[in-house]
Amino acid sequence: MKTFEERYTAWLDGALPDAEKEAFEQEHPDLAGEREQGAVLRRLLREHLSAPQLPNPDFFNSQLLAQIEHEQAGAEKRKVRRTWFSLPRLAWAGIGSALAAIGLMVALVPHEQGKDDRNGYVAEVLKTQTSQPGVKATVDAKKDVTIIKLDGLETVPPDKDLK
Amino acid sequence: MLHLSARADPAAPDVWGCLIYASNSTAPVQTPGRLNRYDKKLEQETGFSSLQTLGENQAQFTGGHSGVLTFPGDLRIAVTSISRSPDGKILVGLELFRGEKQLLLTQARLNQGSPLFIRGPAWRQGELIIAVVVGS
Repeated sequence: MKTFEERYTAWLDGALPDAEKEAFEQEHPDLAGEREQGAVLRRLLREHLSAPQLPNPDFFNSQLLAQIEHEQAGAEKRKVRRTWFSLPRLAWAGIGSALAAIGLMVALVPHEQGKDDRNGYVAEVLKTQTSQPGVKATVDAKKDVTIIKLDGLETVPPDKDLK
Repeated sequence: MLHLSARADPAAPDVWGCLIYASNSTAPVQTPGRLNRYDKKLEQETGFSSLQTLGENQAQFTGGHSGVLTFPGDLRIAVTSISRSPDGKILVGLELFRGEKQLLLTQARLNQGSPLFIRGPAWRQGELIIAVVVGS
């Protein structure tokens, strides 16, 4: 059973079958004017609110397609920019950083004391031995100079002329 | 005094030695030319501001033959061995004597021209330092 709204809408649109239309008009004689008014309203809407006719529809279409392509190209560029830090680039950056760190370490970390080949000075004491009681030998190996220090030696008399 | 124990060999390295008196006197620093670049280092490491040369010696040695460098104060350096290492450095064996007493036996690996310093006995207001250089 159709509701009143369904029958009314269909009657306004002229979609009711004839039998149902006559029955609806007999049941609601006060609605005859509304159908007239609805028809006028539809005519007015059609006349004043229709889509404008484009003078050059093909040109409009081509412009629209060009705009779409432009926007798609821009999206592609942004996609390329976002991948600037790609995995290969990051790998090379890491390798470069490691090489720079190694270079800095070689340049800045001091060489083993007493063996500064860069300056040509090499004096490495391999062995020391003292046979005098109370005499001790210690090696002081610094950059550019290696000194063997003997502690406990007898003092040379000051009146002994060594010059 | 020089002792030459072997025939001079142009290929054999020479050994040069120097006796230095290190003190805090006002005398200016006076070291041999080949030690000039080490003056500041010696001053820093020993704490003495004045370095005076007391004597120098030089001799040439062939492999397997020992040699002696003598200095004032009855000090002498005996070179007991000298040879080349595979990396081109010089391996040298040295003994320091004062009179007949051996004070030190040492073996060192030196680059030509790199002095090895030995801080010896005290004398007057300072101490005696012996420098040994192999090669020029």
